[in-house]
Amino acid sequence: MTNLSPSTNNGAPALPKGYWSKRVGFLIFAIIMVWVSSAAEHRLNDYAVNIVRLCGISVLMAVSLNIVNGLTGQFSIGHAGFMSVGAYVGASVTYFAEMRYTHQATPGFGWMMAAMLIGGMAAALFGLIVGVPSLRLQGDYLAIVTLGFGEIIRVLITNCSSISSNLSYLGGASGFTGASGAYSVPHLTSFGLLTATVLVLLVLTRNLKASQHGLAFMAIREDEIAAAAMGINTTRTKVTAFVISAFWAGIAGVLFAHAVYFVPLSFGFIASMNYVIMVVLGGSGSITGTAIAAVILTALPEMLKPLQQQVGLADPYRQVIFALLLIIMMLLRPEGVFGRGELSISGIRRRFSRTSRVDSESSTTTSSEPAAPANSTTATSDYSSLALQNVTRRFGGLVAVGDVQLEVKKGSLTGLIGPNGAGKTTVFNLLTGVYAPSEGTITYEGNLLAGSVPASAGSRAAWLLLDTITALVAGLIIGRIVATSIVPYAATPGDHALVHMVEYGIGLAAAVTAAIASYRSRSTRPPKRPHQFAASGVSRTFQNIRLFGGLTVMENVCIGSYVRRKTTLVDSMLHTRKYYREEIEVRENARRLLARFGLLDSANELASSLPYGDQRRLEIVRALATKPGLLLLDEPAAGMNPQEKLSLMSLIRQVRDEFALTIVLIEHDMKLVMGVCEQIYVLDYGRIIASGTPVEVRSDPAVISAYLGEEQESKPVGDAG
Amino acid sequence: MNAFQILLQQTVNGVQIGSVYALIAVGYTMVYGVLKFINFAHGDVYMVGAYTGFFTVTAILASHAPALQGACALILAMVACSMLGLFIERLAYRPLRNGIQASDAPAWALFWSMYITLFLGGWLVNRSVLPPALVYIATFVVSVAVMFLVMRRLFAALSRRLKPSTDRLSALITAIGVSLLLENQGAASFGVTPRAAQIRGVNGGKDLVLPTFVAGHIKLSVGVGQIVVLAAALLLTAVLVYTVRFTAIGRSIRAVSLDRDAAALMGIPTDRIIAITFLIGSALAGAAGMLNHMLTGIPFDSNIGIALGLKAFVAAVLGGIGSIEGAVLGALLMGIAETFTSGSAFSPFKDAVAFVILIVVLLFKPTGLMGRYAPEKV
Amino acid sequence: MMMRQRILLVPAAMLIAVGFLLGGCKSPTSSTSQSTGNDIIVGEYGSLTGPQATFGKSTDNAIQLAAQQLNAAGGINGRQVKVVTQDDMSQANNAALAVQNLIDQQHAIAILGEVASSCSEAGGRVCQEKGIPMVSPSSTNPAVTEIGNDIFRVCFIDPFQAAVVARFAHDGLGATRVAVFTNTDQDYSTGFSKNFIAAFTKMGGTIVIQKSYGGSDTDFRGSLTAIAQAKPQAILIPGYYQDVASIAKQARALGITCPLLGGDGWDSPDLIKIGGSALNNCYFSDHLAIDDPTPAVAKFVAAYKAKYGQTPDSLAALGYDSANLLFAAMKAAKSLTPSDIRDAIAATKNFPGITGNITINAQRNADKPAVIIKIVNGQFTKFMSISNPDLPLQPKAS
Repeated sequence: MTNLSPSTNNGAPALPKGYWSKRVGFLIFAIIMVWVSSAAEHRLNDYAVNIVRLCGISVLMAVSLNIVNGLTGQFSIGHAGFMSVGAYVGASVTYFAEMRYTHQATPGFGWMMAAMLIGGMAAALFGLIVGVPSLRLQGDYLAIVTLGFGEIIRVLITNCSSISSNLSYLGGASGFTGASGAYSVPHLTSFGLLTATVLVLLVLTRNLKASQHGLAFMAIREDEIAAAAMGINTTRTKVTAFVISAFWAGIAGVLFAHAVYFVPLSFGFIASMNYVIMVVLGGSGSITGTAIAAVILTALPEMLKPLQQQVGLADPYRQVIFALLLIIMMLLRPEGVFGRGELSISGIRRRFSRTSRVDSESSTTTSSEPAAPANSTTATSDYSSLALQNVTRRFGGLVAVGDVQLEVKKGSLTGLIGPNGAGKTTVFNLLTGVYAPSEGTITYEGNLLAGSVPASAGSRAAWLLLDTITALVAGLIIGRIVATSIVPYAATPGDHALVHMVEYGIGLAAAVTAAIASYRSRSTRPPKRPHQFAASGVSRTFQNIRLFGGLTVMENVCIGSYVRRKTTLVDSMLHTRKYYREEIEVRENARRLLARFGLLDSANELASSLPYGDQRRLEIVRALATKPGLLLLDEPAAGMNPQEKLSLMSLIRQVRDEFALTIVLIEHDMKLVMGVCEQIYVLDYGRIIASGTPVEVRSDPAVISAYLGEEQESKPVGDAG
Repeated sequence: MNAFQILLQQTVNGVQIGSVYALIAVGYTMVYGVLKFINFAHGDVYMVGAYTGFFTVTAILASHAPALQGACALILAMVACSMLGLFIERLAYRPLRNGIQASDAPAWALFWSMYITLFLGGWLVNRSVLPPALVYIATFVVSVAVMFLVMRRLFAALSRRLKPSTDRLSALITAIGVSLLLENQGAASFGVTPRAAQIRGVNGGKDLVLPTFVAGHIKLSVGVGQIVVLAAALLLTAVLVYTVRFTAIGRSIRAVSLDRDAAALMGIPTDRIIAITFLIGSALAGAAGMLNHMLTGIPFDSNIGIALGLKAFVAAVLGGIGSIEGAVLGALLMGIAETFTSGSAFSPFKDAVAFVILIVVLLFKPTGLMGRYAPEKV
Repeated sequence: MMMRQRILLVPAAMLIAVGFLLGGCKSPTSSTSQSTGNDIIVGEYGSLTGPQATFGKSTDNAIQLAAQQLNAAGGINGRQVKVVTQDDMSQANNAALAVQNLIDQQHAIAILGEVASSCSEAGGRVCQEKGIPMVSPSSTNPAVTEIGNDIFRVCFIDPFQAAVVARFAHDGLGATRVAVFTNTDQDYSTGFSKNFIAAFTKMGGTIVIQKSYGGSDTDFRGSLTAIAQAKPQAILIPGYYQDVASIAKQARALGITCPLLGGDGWDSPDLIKIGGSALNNCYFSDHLAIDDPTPAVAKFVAAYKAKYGQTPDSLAALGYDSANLLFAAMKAAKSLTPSDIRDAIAATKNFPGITGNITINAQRNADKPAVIIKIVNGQFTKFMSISNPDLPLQPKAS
């Protein structure tokens, strides 16, 4: 993807050079690798074969975990749970194949593929079940839930026979046993299959990392709130990352089960931690780094064994040394060996030749080239684009914004001013879905964006049913626990009656409570979330800059285009033609926007390394990349010198005209607002105290007394800074 | 026994388990509150507390009065564990947080010297005519001096090249490293055979229960050891809550946990406050380890801290991590839930219950039972 | 073309790892290799670290003791035996790796191990595939020797032991209402419980209540309170001694006075040290009674104490027997090839082990009686010996 050639602007962009040669080349390379590894398998003894297999499986686990922990920045420490789901389901598939279909013959390659697919899907399903509720949680809370999930899986498998006797073939504490007790999981994990799987995962992950979807993952890692404001459905994206990762862990589990004759129970907390260690040591976010760390960390302990025996150290010291190395490694290089970068041959060459990276593409587009104007010079129409009606937002007892009435004309440039703490940013947060209004409605282009709408009777009934049944089931389980716990041995009819009374009593009480709560709370539709605001064409910048600091300027802008993407996740992982076409468009658009704001020269720098003023402008560029109809600028000129402010303001006007935008901006600098805005609203203590043209507002006595009252009565308002 | 009596008995049983969880959970929650990271080594400090108690009771004060044994074992366990907590913090967590500096040299010099004394000293003892104790002491003194100089030079050079890390994953991995180190060094030093000892004075070492409480038809049996653990848990937690709420150090701890940088700007010595937090948390874990094992005689080995530490951490999260009262509440709740499950028809799933409750609570209250909700400012 | 280059590197790294390993193995296509040098290499795998380390360590001690005594007495046909030990960290997947290492890298011609059945099964499959005989000292799960004709053991199996305990509970104690308390994290415990329940109900007894605990539990009051309410005449606790000792204490504290029953997992001097008087009048089945004053046992106990400074437990005794049985078979074998050693082991009859006379039967398990041990005032005392649990016991006065 680094070799995208600049394309012509007219018509569908051509495919990048080397599109086919790359694919064919990779295919040939993969076939050679599979062939070489298959040949190697027969040259090695079983011990070596087993270690190489375990290395390959660790690579699958670490790289798939990296999708969640490294790329998306979430904190999952229960990855081995998904591996065990895959291992048990996959082993069951070949077990039943052997028992039912192939009649004692070892199932073949086809069954193995089926086992991998089904095992992966089962793990993905578990990923979905865990991910949907828990990914709303942040950081360490998510970590502890994933850890808990891993433990729950372990407990369930250990006690499978007490769940149902049909499950006892899973073997409980003995590991996967089959019905007879001495069943061996067939040996179907060949080197060729393992190599092919590892290659597929590496390529897909690498493709993903370079794509719009991968950027969306990384945007969440960098700043979740900004990501949502860019139109990324953060919950859904996180769940997607989680499910993909679980799927591959499941496949790794199937390969594991068919590599070691049996499925052990040792998929607990310690195994999960090992994979986290691989990700961190390799560099979270770096695919090649984690893969190499996985190989080293799997093979190294085995290689140290003979050394330890020669030296004559007690066995625990092997682990002591490992622990010590871990601590020292973290102290010397906490970001892992490779950090977020990837190991590549050209990268090594670059390091040695010490030539700086030249972006050949940026030079092809001259920065002076004017951006293609859309319907330029749209005059302000009377059509009201944005309307807030009686919007109130309370935090506890505090009214942050009260009864705000606000109308913004299409194509206008409206200013929102007011003293510190007047509620300006709260209004912006209401306009972008960060907060839902306590009362009132917000409409944009005739669509209701926020405000309570009664839910349809159908959805209310469905929720009521779902909530009640969930609570009933949960209540019955809790009831059964309490009942059988206080009457562990029911001998008399009285005991049985008590058991049933407690059990059904608690179940029923839970169901009734849930039904009432559901009836009350589900009466209105759930409020729209920030990414839905962005999708309807509202985009924003932030008062305290929220760029994706760890990504480049170019990547920041490309994330803006995510909300208008047409490619699917599959396109992104396979790098289809559709993907390349969109990618070229997105890059072209980003380059044009960056050029317009004079940022093209720093396109490949990290956003966090830009000077302050450039960061502010980059935020505007990023917001524009979402192709908004309404742009909300929160103190865009804060921290700039007067010269910069003036040029920024004129730029804002031009942008408004070029892109046919409606703009609302918050600004402290009255002079600027007066100079640039056509319409001004003045906010104080959460209420609108005045509105109108700059001239009207300037002479409004309420504004003078409230906004500047104590400061300098005599001085004209316009000069206040 | 009728149902009501079992209900009471199971609740009492649950509170007894919960009080052990509580003592460990409080340390977890304090460290998390101040540093925002999961100190996975906390459970292993508990293990060291148990071993300290064991050696005090069986070796140092083997023939003394039980009350003296108990008091000394408690104090020694708390002192040893608080020193260990401080040492861990100086050795691994502070260099990670602030970047390696020359001031970290003493901790590392001490650390290396211990191993040098163990191996080189052991080698020298066999080849020397001097008394072994003298050889060991001499090796230790010389290696501390040499290692201190070496480490100081090395760290001074490194400190120019290394930046402090703010990544939470690397902090977590460091904690896991420390945890593995303690567990396996414990196995190497104390052996893998489970140890057990009981202070004889607990009902003369014979009868293990109080004369059961009788009120009407209700008979409750409560272990003496468990009562002491519970009382100690409540007392120590009360002292801690008082300290955090009403003393100058407590104010500093709260300030550091709210905003470390701002606290530093206000002149609070944040590193020292963090060290004090580790000290207090580790002392409590050590007390828990000593009390739980030396009063009840439950056997333990060097891996005892893994499962208990994990449960205690879940209790801390359940209660709302960062909140001391929450940790106690979460621990008691978890103890009761586990006891009821283990007595019920679902007894095989007892170990999953803690996590199921955790997940359900976090779904409805994402910050735990008593955690504060702190939305991110936009 | 960065893509291809990046991806190249990961398989390349794996190949480097392979290369390392290749460097370590001289004969990659090694078949049933003879031992190199003059020493005979016997492999042993066990849990030397991790949660099962205490069992692995005492087995390892006894095996090393047996090898030392053998070598002191002249070895096998004048050649010294070297026992190479691999730690499997109490994990089954590491056990498989350890056995592969012993056979492929160390060229062991016979394998000893493991205690935990799950590890023995993993290691046993490797041995069976490579045709190397393996003798497990103390894995009692029947599945271990069902793997194939290369896998043997010197202990009895779970169904036998469980049936012995059931027979004893029913006939010896006259109990008809028994509670079962299982450690669900150990297949030893779950297997024992399953077989006990089957045998006991067949005899007409009732299992009044079954509860379970996990491997890391230290507090058992929740389950015990429930068990107390069912008023059983005896409680079966087929666990290991550290758990059993705590369970016994807590059960007594909750007012449970009935006898507790168990299996060979109870056998350790620490059982009484931890559990004290709570275990008086409890019974368990075992391979031998350490208090049994046969000269062989006394000699072993003395030698073990002299070398390691502690009293051996039954796992040590079984480890000692497994090693000696293997050495005897190696002496008797036509040649020192794995297949001849296997045939010699299979032909073992009335081997005088310290855990009784061992005869390897057609299922490659050891035929020997089980001993019921009663705990009297903190002492293990031999109560009776049961060789066929299918026959009713004659009432015995003690």
